[in-house]
Amino acid sequence: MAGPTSLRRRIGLIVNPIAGMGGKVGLRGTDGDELQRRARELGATEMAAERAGVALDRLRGQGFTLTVAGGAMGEKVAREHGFETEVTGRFGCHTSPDDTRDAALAMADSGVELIMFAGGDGTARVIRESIGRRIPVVGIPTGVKMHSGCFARSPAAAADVVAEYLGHDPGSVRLDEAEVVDRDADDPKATTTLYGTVSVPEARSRLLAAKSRSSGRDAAAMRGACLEVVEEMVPGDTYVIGPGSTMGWVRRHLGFQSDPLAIDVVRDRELIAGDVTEAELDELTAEAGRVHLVMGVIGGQGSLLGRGNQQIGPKTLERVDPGDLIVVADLQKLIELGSSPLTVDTGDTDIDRRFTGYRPVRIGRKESLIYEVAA
Amino acid sequence: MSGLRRYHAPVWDEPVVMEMGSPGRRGFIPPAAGDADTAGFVPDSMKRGERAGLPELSEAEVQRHYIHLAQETLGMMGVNLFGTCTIKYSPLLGERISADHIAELHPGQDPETIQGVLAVLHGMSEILCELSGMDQFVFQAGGGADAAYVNAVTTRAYHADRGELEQRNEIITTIQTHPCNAATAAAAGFKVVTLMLGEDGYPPLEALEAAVSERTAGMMIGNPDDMGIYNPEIKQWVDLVHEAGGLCFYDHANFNGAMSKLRARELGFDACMFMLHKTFAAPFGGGGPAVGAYGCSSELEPYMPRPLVREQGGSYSLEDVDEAPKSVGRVREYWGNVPQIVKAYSWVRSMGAEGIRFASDMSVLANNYMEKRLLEIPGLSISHPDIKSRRLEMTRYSLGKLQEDTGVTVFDVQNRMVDFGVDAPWLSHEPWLVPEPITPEAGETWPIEDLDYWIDVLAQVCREAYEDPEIVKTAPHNQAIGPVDGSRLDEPDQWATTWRAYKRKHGDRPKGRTSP
Repeated sequence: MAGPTSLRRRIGLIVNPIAGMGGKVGLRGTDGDELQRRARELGATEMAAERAGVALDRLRGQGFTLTVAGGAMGEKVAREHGFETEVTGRFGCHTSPDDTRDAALAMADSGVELIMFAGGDGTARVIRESIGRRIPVVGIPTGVKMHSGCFARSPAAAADVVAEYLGHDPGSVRLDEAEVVDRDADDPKATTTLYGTVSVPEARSRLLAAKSRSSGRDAAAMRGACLEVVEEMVPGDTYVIGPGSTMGWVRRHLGFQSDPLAIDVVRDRELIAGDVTEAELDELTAEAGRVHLVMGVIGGQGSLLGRGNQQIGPKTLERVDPGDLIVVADLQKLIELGSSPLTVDTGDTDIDRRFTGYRPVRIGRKESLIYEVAA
Repeated sequence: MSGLRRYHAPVWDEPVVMEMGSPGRRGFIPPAAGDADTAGFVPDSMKRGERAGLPELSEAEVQRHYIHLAQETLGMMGVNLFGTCTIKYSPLLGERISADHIAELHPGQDPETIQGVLAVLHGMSEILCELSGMDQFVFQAGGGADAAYVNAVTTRAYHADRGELEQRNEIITTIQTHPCNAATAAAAGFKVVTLMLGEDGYPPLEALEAAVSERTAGMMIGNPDDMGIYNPEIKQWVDLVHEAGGLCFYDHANFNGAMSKLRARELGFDACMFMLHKTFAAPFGGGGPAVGAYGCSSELEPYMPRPLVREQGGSYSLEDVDEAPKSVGRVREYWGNVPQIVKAYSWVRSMGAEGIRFASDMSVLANNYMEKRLLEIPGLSISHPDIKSRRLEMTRYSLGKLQEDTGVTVFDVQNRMVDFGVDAPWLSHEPWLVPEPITPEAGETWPIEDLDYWIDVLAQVCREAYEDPEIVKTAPHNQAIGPVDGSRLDEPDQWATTWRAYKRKHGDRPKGRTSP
């Protein structure tokens, strides 16, 4: 008879022990050795393990096997909170992104179903690089920067997402794509960059903000809204398609796919230039007639222009009538902004001003929401 | 839990009626047709090839079965403060009047023989015109959403008649207006433009200014909204939409708090809708067929559905579709759910103008009384806490803090409240704008003891959430059924709403034992 452990569900935990240390001492992140050292000098304490502990306490008695990264990256906090664990790898107190990368990969390879991680955008980025969308992840918010879509609202909420996941049969939980975004912690003027997507359980009731139990609505609405955009494309006009997972629907309806970070140019429903640079785009739009921008909303900050899509520079933007800026965004994503406006921040205040005000955002086929855009 | 009542619902392992009974068992055997010549009475094309697969039970078994089912409904007969629904007690007098006087009428009768019921319909229209300032009402719609649909198609007919329909293809609504407005506008072919709330709890005027254009066909809006917040700029809103050439529709879903205090027409609206099964005390939802009373200005009257009851010299007649070439026609058979109209008429006549005003005041007072006590419950907060003005007849609260602190969700709270013999509270329409929303509405029906009991139950459940969350998460415990896993409710392979579909999806299952 096989031991009961072979039937138990396996959940992974990776703690980035230095995540979030910068926040309380006024740093914007702890990416890299230099920032870590400065954070410690400024008296920062490690809080990731503590927050992971809150989540673990809430998961006690759920009857799963916890697979942890070694040492300060999960093993220690799991022991302290009374969890029997499986350990992958041994890590000391000075950890690096490589350790996170290796741990995530080892977990995915060994059949862990879902990885919880305590960290920030930087940690999410590393995990995405490591395992992509192979298995779902749930972020315990710990870092200074948490603009990626894979974070729960709180450690307790992260535990609730995992508990909800465990309440269903393996494989029967619907998965969503969540964008991973990050910005350079050392530069106060840094812009947010989209790095790709990870897989998250669709039980998003506690991911980020309020989310009701309706399921499947979001994807269908975005698919429909993007189909309408494609149907309405005017022959001869030029359409600049922005980055992000929502814009993936526009591309799929047009019959091509590209990297989630790319900016593509379309005319007569044909791709005329893929993954363009700012210079290429300026050149293309200079020769074009009417230019439309089709954009999603990047990350949890409501960034519309100037973050993650810097290829769309001032020269191109000058040629776009603000009425030809088509924005497609999930209604829930807008609600989660908590009434704060969408932002344009291109570095040129005159251009920014042209695109501000109350503007329609397409939230479904034949459905739009009037939402404020501010510079 | 000293003050709370001890309660347990009956528990039955009741089979589906198709699994009960025995072949050949009958409750009632009608006399045979005898020698009557029935040949050709039913066209061959409509005749069944084989006998219908009906349940075969005695009358007593049928009665017992449905009594058991009625005992398993988890409420709707308890203290029910189901927000946005204006639950009221429906007086038995109305039931008696409609049973004794309406059940045997047929709308196909000669109008000369049904002057009384036509007088009631006409009278009800007059009363609603008085309450709204509109010029004519029609009762065909079978519910609130149906009445919203009537508005969408009436708006469509109005613009089509003026040759502007192609250009005017957008309906404006707000995110806290009942979603049936957006849905019915879309069903009628319009694009929907929704306004997000601003910091005052209603959308800013600038958002509406950005939304109106030469494409605007109309605006469909509720006020106060489902958070109980009244938009004081509503007259400017109507003016803006009118200036753009659109029509304005007032969804009076939340009329209780505004009843007798304002008239839609005086605010400039072109049309409005009342739900007779809510504000006017006809039975609600599953408790009885509904009526969405749609009223409009004389300018829109040519386009509204027919038939309408007309009065001339004390005599009532029906103006049908063929007499109104611009009318959208019928949206339903005959004149609507007449027994419900009679119940609503009997209620509003017994209330009178003074009673209506008093009921409205009571509903606002009761809600604000509840607010005072509810905000003392740890874990519960009010939506838009920074707004200083008082809510009208209902208030949206959030149990987000409770969920954050304890892991107990608002669904768990719903499930636990029914253990104490009150009905599950309403949460919020989609989308949720506050986490873990809950929206009680006191109305004027419930005595203060009932309101206090309901608050005591919620306070007890929130206390349990902090002290022993498992008892809330695994609720209900004292009900007809335990908790239901709703996670796969939208999977078509799993669920069937008819016996035929059930057999198709799951195969025949052996006939179970019959009921005890």
